[in-house]
Amino acid sequence: MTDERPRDCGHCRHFIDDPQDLEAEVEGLKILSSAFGSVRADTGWCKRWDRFCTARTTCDAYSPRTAEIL
Amino acid sequence: MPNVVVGLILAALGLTGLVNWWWSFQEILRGLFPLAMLTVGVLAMTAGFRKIPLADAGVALAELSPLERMFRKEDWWAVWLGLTLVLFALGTYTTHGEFLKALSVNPGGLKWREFGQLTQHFADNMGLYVLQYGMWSLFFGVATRVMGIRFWDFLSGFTFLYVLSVIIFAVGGWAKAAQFNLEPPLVALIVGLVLANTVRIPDWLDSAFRVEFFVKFGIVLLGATFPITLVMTAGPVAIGQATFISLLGCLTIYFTATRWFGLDRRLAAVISVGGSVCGVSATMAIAAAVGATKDHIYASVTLVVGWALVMILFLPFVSQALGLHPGVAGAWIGTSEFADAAGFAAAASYGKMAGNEDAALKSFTLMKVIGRDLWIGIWAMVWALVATTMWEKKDGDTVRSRIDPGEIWRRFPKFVFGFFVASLIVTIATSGYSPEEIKSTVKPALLDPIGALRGWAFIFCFLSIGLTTRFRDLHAVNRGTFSAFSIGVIINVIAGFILSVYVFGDYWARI
Repeated sequence: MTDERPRDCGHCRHFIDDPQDLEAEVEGLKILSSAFGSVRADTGWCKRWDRFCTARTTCDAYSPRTAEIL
Repeated sequence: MPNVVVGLILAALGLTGLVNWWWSFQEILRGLFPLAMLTVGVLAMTAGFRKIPLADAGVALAELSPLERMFRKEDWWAVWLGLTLVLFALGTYTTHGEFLKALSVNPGGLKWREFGQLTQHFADNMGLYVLQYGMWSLFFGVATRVMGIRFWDFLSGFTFLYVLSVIIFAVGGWAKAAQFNLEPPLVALIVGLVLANTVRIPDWLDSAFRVEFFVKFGIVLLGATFPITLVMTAGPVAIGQATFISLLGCLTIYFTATRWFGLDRRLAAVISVGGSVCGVSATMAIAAAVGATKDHIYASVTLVVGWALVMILFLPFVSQALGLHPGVAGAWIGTSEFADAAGFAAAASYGKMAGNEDAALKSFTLMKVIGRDLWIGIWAMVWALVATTMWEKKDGDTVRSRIDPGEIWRRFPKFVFGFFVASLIVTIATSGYSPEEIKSTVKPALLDPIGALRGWAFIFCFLSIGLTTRFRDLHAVNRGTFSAFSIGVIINVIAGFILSVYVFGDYWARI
C-alpha cells in the first residue's frame, strides 16, 4: 500500500511543529512569544537540517512520520 | 386489574395536580431546563475533550483540517473568549449591571490603610472571588485544553497564578502603594522574576504561564473600551510613525550586523525584525522565510527578553522624570518596546504612575498593535522575497521552500480582529447615549467592569513574563550580535522619542 500523503515537511518525522514540542525545543520561546500564535503559522523546526521552515517545504531527506499520524 | 385501577387513580390525580399547579410545573421546567443544558453541555465537553489529542500525542498538524488548526491557535481563542465576554457585558449591563461589576471584583482600588480593611474586603467578597476564579479557569482552561495542554496541569498553574495576582492587586490597593511605586504591573513582573530565578518552579505549573494568550485576550477587551472613531482618526498617524521607526530600526540592525560585524545574514534578518517589529514573534514569523537555525532564534530570544526587561523598568521612570503626558509616553513606549506584553507592562505602569492609564494604553495600542503588529505578514513576505531572489543558494542545499501571497494572511495576528470587532460593536451599541449618559451609566456599568477584567488579564500576563523568564535558560550571544541589536534599539528609542514628543507630541497628548 503506497503512502499518498504529500512528501513535505508537515508529514516528515524530522519536522517539529507541535506548539508544545516547539516551546520545549526552543528554550525561552514562550517568554515574550508563543508557539501557539498565528504569526508562527505553520513554521516548524527541522531537526535533520537544524533549520526553521514551513510545513510546505520539501527536501531530499524526507522521511514519513509513522505511528504518529492521527 | 388492580394495577389498572391504581394506575387510573394516579393518572387522574396527576392530571388534576398538573392543572391546579400548572404554574409550579412551569417553574420547575424553567428551572430544570438550564440545569439540564448545563449538565449536557459539561458532559459533551468532557467527552469531546477526551477525543482531542494532547500536544505530546505526536499529532501531525498538517493532517488537521483548517478548522481544527484554527482551534489550535491562541489568537482565535482570544477573539472568541474576548468577544463572548464583551457581548455578555453588553447584553446584561442595563439589566444586571451589578452582576458584571461583581464579576470584575478587584482589591486594587480599595485604598486600604489598615490590614483589617483588606481582610474584611476578602471576607465580604469571598464568593465573588470564587466565582471569578471559576470563570477564568473555565475560559482559559477550555481554550488551552483544546489547544492541546493538559487541563489539570493548566488548572494547577493557573490557581497559583490567580492567587499571586490577588496578592499583587491587594498590594497595589494599599493607600501608600503609589508613594513606593508599587504599581501592580511592575510588582507582578518583579515578583515573577524573583520567583522564577530563585525557586525551582515545577514544569507542570508552566502550562498556565501563557504570556501571549493573556495579552491577546486583554487586547480584545481593550478594544471594547476603545472608540472605533479613535482607531480611524489616529490610526494613520500611528501607522506612519510606527512604519518609519520599524524601517529605521530594521535596516539599522541588519546593515550594522552584516556590514560592521560580518554576521550571518539569516541571523541579521531575524534580530533586525525582532528589534524593530514585534520581538520574538516577528523573529518566528520570518524564521522560515530566511531559513534561520535554532541558534539564531536563541540569539533573538536573549536580546529581545534582555532589552524588553530593561525598557519595562527604564521607560516608565524616564517618562516620569521628564513629566511626559501619558498619551505621549504611551506612543514613545509603543515605538521603543518590541514585544506587546512587555510594552503593555511599561505603558500600564506609567499610566498608573501618572494617574491616566487609559491614555497611555490607548496611544501604546495605536502605535504597537495598529502601527506595527498588523504588518507582520508583510514583513515575512518581504523577507521571503529577499531570501529567495537575492540570496544565493548554498551548495548542496536541498531544501526547497515555496512562497506565495497567502503568507500575509497566514501570519496575520488574528487577535487584532477581536480588537476591531469589540471596538466596533461597543461603539455602535453605545452610540445612542449622550456624553452625560455615557459618564453616568455606560462607563460605570459597562466600560469600567470590562476595564477591570482586562486588568486581570494583563496581570496574569505580566506575572507570566516574570515566571517564564529564567535567566539560566537564555543563551549567550556574541559581542557583534549584541552590539548590532543594541545600536538599533538605541536609535529606535531616540527616534521614537523625537517623533512622539516633538513631532506629534500635541497629537498624542490629546488622546
